[in-house]
Amino acid sequence: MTLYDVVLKNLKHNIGKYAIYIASLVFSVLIYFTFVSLQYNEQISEAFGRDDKMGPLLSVVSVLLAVFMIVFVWYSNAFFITNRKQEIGLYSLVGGTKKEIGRMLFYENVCLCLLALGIGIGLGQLFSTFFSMILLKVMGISLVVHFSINLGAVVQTAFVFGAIMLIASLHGYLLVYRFRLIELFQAKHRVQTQWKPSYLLAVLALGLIGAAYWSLLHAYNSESWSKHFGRNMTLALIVLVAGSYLLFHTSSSFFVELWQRRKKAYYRWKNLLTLTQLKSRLKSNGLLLTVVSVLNGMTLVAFGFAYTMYFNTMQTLDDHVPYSYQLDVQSVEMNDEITKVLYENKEHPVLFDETFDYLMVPGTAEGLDTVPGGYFYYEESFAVLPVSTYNLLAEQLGRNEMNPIDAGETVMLGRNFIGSQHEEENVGRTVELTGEEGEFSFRVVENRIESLFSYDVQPSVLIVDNGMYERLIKGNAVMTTRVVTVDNQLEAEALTEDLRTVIASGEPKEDYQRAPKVFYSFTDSYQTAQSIYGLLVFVFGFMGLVFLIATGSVIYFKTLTEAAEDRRRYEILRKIGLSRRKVKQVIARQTYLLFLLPLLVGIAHSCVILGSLSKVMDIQFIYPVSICIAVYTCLYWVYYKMTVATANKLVNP
Amino acid sequence: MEIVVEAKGIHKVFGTKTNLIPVLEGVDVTVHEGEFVGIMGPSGAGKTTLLNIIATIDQPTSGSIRIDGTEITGMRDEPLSEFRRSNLGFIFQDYNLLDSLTIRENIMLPLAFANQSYVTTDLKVNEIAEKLGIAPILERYPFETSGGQKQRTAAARAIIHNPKLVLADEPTGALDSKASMDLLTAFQMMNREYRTTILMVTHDAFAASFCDRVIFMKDGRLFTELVKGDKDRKWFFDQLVTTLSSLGGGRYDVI
Repeated sequence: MTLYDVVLKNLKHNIGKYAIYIASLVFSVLIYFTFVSLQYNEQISEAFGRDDKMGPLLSVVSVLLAVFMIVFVWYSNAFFITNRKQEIGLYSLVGGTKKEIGRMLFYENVCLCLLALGIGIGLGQLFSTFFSMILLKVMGISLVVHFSINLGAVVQTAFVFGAIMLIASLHGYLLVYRFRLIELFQAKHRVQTQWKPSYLLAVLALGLIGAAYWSLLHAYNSESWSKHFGRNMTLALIVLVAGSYLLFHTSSSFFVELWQRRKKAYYRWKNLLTLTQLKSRLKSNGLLLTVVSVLNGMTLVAFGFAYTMYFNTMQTLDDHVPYSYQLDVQSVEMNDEITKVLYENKEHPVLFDETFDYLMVPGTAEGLDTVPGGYFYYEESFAVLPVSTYNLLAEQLGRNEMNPIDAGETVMLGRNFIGSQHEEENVGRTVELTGEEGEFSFRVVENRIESLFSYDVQPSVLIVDNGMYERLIKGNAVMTTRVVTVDNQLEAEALTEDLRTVIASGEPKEDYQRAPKVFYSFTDSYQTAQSIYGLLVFVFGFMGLVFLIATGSVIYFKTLTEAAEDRRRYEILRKIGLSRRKVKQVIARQTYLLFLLPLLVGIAHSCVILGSLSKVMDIQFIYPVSICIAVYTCLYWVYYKMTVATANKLVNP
Repeated sequence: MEIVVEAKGIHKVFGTKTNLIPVLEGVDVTVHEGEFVGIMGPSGAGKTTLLNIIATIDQPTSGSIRIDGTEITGMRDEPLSEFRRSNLGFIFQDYNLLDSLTIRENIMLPLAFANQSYVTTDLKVNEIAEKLGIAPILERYPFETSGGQKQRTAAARAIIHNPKLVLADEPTGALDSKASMDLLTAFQMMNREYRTTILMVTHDAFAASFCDRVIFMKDGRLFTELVKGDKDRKWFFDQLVTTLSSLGGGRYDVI
């Protein structure tokens, strides 16, 4: 018999323990490979086509996933080796040197990792097809996903995982060196140290969290936040994390102690058994619980945010893109052609069709409080329309018509895509517009939060008196644009394609150089928005799922290890007359807090952060975020049930 | 006779700087080759700590230990492992067998680490298993055997590589009287036939009565020593019980 035999036999016998370890390795390979193969997938990158800005996002996420993988593999490896303390101790006792034992475990680990790599990539292949379908679905792209094996993804996964596994195996090798033989024999009579709860730290923990919350919730009208959003956010998050750590590690025992002082509650058997152990659990797991709650919070924020953007954009897209089509009329022939296509289609009857003129007028915006972004985008020009044209459009769009205004007055129109807007913004300020006759000054009398064009970058619109419009025409470019709304515009993809063909056949006229693009359709905008936000939702959803499974498994493993250590305790409980059912209740209660606390803290943190963002960005998060939290809580609950069942089987056979 | 263990002035202090608990306060022990020595004493007397220190599992705070002439205090990990491999054998109360290996494989584990040849290994295992009465169960797994058989397996594993010294910590602690008897008879056989030197910690006067010599400890110091000489085991047992009751101040209940 050689050492090799010993290892092999050990593997065969403890296949259960190994299975858990291999499963976690496979899981991390699976996650990484699935994502990377999405990244490499040709069908998907073709589907992105025009939006190659999505590439960097995917790369960042794959780096994040690699980091996650390092942590997860590292953790499970350490967990695995520590769990085999006794076996390692025994090898050491019968004369194995640490070098030999370390090497033995190292080789074993390398073999396991290779196995996991194979299984992970195999499963990942199946999963990636499945996830590509989901991705394309949320991005609104209809494509049949082919099953394809991606060599690039395989190589990258093998390389990254190979490096990580080498590091983890070396770590395991070093862990063996850190074991002291005596620990093997002392583990049985290890005494748990008692500590004194500290008022000061409890107050400090709550104070830190409170301060971060307060600052976050007051961010929307704070000078400092609007100037240094990134810096303040980072600071607030650091304070939050520090506060949560203190809360779990140091103060939790204090709160449990407070509870224990209420003897009436404490002396109920369930509480008695739970609290005593909980005190030490919370403390020793302080770091773990902090990490879990921060990950939970992060996931909820990221997914909640992405989902909200998706949800809101799709809901409010018609506010930004008011017409089914907007085309800049280029020639009479083409216009006729377009009319023909529009009116000949039967599925989408034309609801309204209007052609109007507007001016692109260079002007000075120095007098304004907030200069709209569109002003700079269109070379310091404003789009100017007369009141009469506005009223014509407003009637069609179902908006409030405008009363006549004075010659020196103007109404500003504009709608931010993201970010809050004040109704009274720029009201009372002045703008100068340049015509052939010279500079004209206008006082902003009203500010309307709406958009009048379907352009993807909205020009800043000024509505002026009809007479003033006539005077500004001289020396400024007159734009003629045609806006059309058809019935059931969301499904008018075929019509859009037909129109695009017509437009593409003509050449744009020269004096349109300053004007925006020629053809805008609601269906295009909808698809673009859906693909961008759909990808965001997918990516964050994917990461959320990863974090959920990761945090869930960390608590799962932790609970099971502790349960195994406490097996004797539970045996005693049963012997002194606690029924199996009651022992199970005790287990459930302890586990329940380990799951519930980080979830609650995570939810609280994410709600405050999202609440703060919601005020700053003027977006309603409540509905989508409630869904996220509900889903997350459900999945966590499943994990909890699973953990209790397994722990119960372990200690309460 | 050659001296196998020579421990001098062993001190061991546990705890942190603020809270020091002395466990051993200057213990001297000498064991000669071929001796079967027992260590007795009430709980907390420091018996197991002393054994662990001699077993190189724990380090003394101060003092010197020579095993077979080699100073083991302050030895580095690597040579210490090799020293253990060739000079020491261990038996614990809870057997410490690997569940994944058969009884035969458990016994030959030390030889696996010493890279011994296949043929000699098999011969040795068969011989020792025969002597210890576990030959019929060699191919079984630990969970298929009784406590007494497990402990005799541990004993076989402890002597398979002809160590200079076998250390046993409460080997009969988990066994019933029949299994204890079998194990202790096996120890006596090992001691006589292989001239194995055995140092055994026990709180059981019956187990200790199999020894040639018993050292009594109390509060981290040596208290007294009893030698069986050529008297019989019954006589020695009575002596041990008497000494124990004086040691425990009447509170030490042996029966």
